[in-house]
Amino acid sequence: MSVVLAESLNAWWPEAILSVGALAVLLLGAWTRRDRPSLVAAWLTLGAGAAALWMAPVPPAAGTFFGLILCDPFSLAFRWLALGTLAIVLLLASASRELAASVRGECYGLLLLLGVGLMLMAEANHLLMAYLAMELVSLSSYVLVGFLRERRSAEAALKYLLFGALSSGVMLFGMSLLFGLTEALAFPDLQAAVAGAGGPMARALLVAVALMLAGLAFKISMVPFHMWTPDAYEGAPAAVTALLSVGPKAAGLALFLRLLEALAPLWPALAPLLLALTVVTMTLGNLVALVQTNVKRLLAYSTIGQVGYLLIGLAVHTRVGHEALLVSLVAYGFMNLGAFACVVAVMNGTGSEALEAFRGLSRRAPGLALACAVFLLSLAGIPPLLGFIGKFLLFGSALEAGAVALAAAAAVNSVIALYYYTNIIRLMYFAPPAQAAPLSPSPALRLALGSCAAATLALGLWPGPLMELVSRLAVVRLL
Amino acid sequence: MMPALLWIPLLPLAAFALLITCGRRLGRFSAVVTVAALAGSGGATLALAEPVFHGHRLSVQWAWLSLPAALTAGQAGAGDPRWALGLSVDGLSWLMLAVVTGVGTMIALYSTGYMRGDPRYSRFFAYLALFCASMLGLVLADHFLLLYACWELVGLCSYLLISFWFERPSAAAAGRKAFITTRIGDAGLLAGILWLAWAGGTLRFEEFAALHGTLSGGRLTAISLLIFLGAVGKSAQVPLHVWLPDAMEGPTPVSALIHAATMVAAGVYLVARTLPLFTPESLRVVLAVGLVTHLAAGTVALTMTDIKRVLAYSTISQLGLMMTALGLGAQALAMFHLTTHACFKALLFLGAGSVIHATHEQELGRLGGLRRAMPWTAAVFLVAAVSMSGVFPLSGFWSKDAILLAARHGGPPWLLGALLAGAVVTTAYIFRLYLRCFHGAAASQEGRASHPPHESPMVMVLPMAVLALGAAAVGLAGSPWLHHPLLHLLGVTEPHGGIEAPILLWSTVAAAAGLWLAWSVGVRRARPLPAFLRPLGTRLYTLAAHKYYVDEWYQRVVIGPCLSAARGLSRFDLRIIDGAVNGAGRAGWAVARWKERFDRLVVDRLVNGTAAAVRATGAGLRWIQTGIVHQYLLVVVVAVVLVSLVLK
Repeated sequence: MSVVLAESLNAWWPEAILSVGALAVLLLGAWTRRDRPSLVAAWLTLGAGAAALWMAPVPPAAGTFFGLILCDPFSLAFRWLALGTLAIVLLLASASRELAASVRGECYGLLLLLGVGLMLMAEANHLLMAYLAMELVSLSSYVLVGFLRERRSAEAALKYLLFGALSSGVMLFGMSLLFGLTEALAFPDLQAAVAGAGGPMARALLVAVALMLAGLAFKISMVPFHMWTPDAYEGAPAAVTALLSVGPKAAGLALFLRLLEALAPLWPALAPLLLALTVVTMTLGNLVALVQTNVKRLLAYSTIGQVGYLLIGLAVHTRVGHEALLVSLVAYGFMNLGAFACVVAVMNGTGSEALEAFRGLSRRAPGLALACAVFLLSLAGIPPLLGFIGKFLLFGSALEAGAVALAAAAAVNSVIALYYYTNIIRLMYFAPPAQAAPLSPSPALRLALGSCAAATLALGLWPGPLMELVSRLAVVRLL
Repeated sequence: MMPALLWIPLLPLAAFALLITCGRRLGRFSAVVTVAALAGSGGATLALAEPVFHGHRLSVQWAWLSLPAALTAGQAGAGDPRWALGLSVDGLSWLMLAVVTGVGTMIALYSTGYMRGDPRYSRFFAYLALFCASMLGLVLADHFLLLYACWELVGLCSYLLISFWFERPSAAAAGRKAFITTRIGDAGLLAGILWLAWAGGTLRFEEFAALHGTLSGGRLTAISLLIFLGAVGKSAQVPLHVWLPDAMEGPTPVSALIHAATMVAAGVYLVARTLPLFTPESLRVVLAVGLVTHLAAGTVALTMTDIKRVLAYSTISQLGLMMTALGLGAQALAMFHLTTHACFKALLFLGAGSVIHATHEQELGRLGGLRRAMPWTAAVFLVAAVSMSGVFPLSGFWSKDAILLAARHGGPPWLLGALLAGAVVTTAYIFRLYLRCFHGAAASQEGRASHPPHESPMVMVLPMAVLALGAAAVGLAGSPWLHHPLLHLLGVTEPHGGIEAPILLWSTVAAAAGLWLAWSVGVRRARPLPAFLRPLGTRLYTLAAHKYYVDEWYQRVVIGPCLSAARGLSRFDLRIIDGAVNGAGRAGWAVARWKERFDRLVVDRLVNGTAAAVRATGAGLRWIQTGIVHQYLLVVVVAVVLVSLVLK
């Protein structure tokens, strides 16, 4: 017993460090009301967590965590993704002028806690663990969305909370049904129990699964569980929106992949539904994004569209699809965080989050405008940027799986999406600026913008290492 | 350490990036940047000379995207699941590199003087640098896709530079004409590339030789002719030659670099590069097109009265000669002539530019006797003219004689005669130009008192002098005296030894005849034809002076019908298609709007109603706006129920 405990904790240092650090940062924030000490503490925590993750043993000894958590290479990749997202979001949060200095400590602490939740979601190997991890992410998100002292923010947080509470209730109901039907909570047991089911049992199982997937769909903003997204994104501080648009999507998709692996025997019944929802998700996101005038709202709908593309990898459910999903997730992380870094920079400079604030940006801040153009073009999937590689692989995987209609729908969507992405570029480069004063992002923002842009460009030009890494991950068994 | 190969296109590209972003701040210094970058590329080219002359092939590969094996399975000929781009240098491309960097450096240097005082000085050098970068990329590409991208880029630069003085409507129109005309050829080229990729499964140049075994002759002929169509557009061959004379609207250094020495020669390079794809049938087409272009353009050049237009038609004619050589399968000889032509034709253009710079005049009728005012320009122009006429032992002689020899040994018997006639015409028009510009009485001084002709500044004369050296001596590198190092470079192992006396004699006679024609008809206005042939001669002259009515024919047969068809279609569009499209667009918009409303506006209105009631109950509850969330939650519940029903 104690040996297992010791082994388990040994593999779990990163999460432990982050959790303790998050609590310390929260306390520090309440203690000093100045943001500098808590920021330093947050960075130290993040650094220590990264160091611990670097040294964490993979794979750890068998039987650790009593089957609740799986620290395999697959989750390792998502843990790194979560840490990287957290680092860039910390940069954005510390540079954003939206947040008052007195509440920043709390904000950093909650961001770190949310990070722990993200890592747990990717590691969960047990329904209870999955639920706890998702609740940790959700609860931190609710508070973070309502962080601004304005009505809109509070309203967004409340809507998010109610929506989330319902989804999570539905999910919990589904999980309890599943437990009642199979008497299994751990994913491997679940797989074994589901495998033999037939007749009315199978139908009951499917209902349970449908209810359970509602919670996951809520987390990844999949239509028709996306409705909270635009409101929450618009009301939340831009840095938090950046995190929400990347972190929970990646972790949610990781959990989704693992769950689907556990429910593999039910896949034939689930596949058509997932396929249809994939097409609906991307189409709806892209169509509604066309008419947006608020940039955060626009990026919210763009996120829904991008999630639709990502779901292709899941819906085709082949090895190439999974590889494509992983590559696209990395791409999506860099380019979407970069796009939000641009939003933070523009909001800092103009105080506005309207699309109009981007007018003539190329003359006020040429570097920022260039970086922003890179992110938007990458989101639109223009070669040789990283976004193109991801999309190319996703569409290729759809064709390879014989889902020609899916690939065609995705291609049409790309065309629609190109319009609203390039519209921002048009505003930045061809519209006269409303005011001429130069706009200069702070060093932290420059660092965030620079690293995201460099990754988007460099990994687009030399995708070899990334694709090799991903192809090694995709062969690993998920359970 | 980056290989020298990469520096060659990257230096001008970096210069372009620098100039386009902060050219205005650099001002006069921007010229230095471009000249230095081109000289650097030239240096890198020279550094590669040693291995290339030893027959090595240098290459740099960049595997961009390696696909998962599952995505490439089932594709024909996809042994390597990678999308690799690469640069490589062999003898052929090295020679072209030397031409582009050498002539390019000289012309950039010359432009520093020629473009002085232009309001878009740095912009000009930025475009020039971009052109050189893409031209060098085109030459270095080892893959058709990369070549095509660069091919389009040089076309773009050509367009930008032809219409560089876009305030003049004629310049803007000429740029457009060049772009659209070459586009016709490019469309053919693209079709050829796609067909080749689809049928042959490879676009790498080194693998073309193996395609003869796998593809049927008819298909190869079609593909190679489509590729040749691209070359016809770019190298201004009949019938797509009409853009090049108009392209003379651009600044003269541009005409020298792009429209004489390098870009228009890209078509010749393309055919030389893809020669393994050409079947005997398609080579016959190449030969015919080249020969017709050579003769037709040469005769038109005899009648033109604008200096630059004479040179433009001369360029078309000489490119036709190179195509003729390619049609004979003599790839090395075509490239040899391309090299010498680049030197003397660039020099002719720079000389013409010098004249225009000095007199602000380019009509032959209003020029004359410039020899005294501009001795240097006159001297280098003479060298270039003599070289082009193929007079022993200047550069032009060696390359042209080699083609004549090949025609005598490898072609039909009449071919040699046709080429000799072409040689007579060549000498006649170039000496007509030279004599009327630089000799005879000075032109009338009316309206020119403000700026008497003067010799150009040192910075323009020096590059001309260097090119004059090239025009005189480069040909020696392909001569039997030095044992043909240039031809060995191009992979010819057994060049014709020695100089054949009959050919030497004939070409000298042709040059002398041309010179006599230029003097007696072009300058003295003598009428050598017997009286009964004169009406015919006049008619032929009129025909040539109107450029064989090709432009008019295009206007009547292509452009006119196209325009009227376009007008008809436009009416159709306005009434029917637009209605449908607008309807569809509005429908799409409406769907999006509807969805938007569903997410926000409709709900908001509901909320406003609810909120009014809520507002009345108390200020404390006002901010909640619960109406929206009700809606949202309802959607979740309905969705869950629906999904459960679907799955069940």
